[in-house]
Amino acid sequence: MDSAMETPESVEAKLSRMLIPRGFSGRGMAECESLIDQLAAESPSAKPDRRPWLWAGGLAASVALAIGLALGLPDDAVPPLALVDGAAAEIEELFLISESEGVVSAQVAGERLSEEDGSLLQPWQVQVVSEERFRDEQTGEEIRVWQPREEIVLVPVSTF
Amino acid sequence: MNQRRAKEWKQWLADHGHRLLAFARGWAPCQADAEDLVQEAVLRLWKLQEVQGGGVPDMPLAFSTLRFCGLNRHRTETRRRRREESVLYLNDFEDVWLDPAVEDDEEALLLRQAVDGLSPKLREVVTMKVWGGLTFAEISEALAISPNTAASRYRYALEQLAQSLRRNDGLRHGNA
Repeated sequence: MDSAMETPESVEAKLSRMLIPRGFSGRGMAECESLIDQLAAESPSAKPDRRPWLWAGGLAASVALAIGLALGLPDDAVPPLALVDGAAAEIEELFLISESEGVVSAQVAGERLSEEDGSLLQPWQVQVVSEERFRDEQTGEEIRVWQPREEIVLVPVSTF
Repeated sequence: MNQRRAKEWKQWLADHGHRLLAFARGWAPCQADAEDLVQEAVLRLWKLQEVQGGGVPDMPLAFSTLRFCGLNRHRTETRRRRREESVLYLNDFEDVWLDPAVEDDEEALLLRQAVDGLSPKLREVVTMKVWGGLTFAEISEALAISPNTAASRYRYALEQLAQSLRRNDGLRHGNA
């Protein structure tokens, strides 16, 4: 079709017919697949119990208690549970599971700005939320700390 | 179980990776950076999906996550780094994101130039619709806008592209 007669419909047809997006490079695809393998290996169902000390501590306490009872320890003897004092203290702590920060909403904020060198910047108003997740090993509860804030981000306008 | 999941995700990436990559180019100055951006989005999506049973994500979620990764990327970079990338990009004329279906097709090159000239807001809708294969409902979900807004941005973008091609045609005939 002559360009002088172009309509939105004809342009739409040309876009998909005439232009083809570039695919992944061999390196890019290999890295992505490697990442997926790594994530799969790290996912919870692939992992052994992450708290072996808890099992070990509990087991040690049980064994010590059983031996103590069998031998009839004197009153001033160290209680068997003292064997796991370190583990007990650890149980009471909160463990940081993850930290993340991300944009939860974004919209264009006003007109483009120009830098001294002539390059253009588009202001975006973004809402950013940082999140920390803690686990209380004793109760199994998870605590999430959210800190939302707003930022203006200047994104370079590049032809690509 | 995890091997099956990894296989499922790799297949999903093979099927849809190029669509995500095309969209990522709107946020990255070069091919390698766009690939890194997709990789980052895959990582985030994997973690997001873990609480949903670990299956592959739907496309609106994937595009939306990729867009946020792009915004994050720009937010965390320093001004100097951005400037360096812009200079690198401008000097790298071969690193384009759309290739003409037919080599040296002048009209296709003009069309690509017109797409590049669209505002980011319009270009992302065109990319999602034409090369991402998303419906207006899916685009609206990914961009958190109404389907009508998505459709009207798309229509407006096509009108601008048509106008740009007409203008170029006029210039060529004027010069001839």
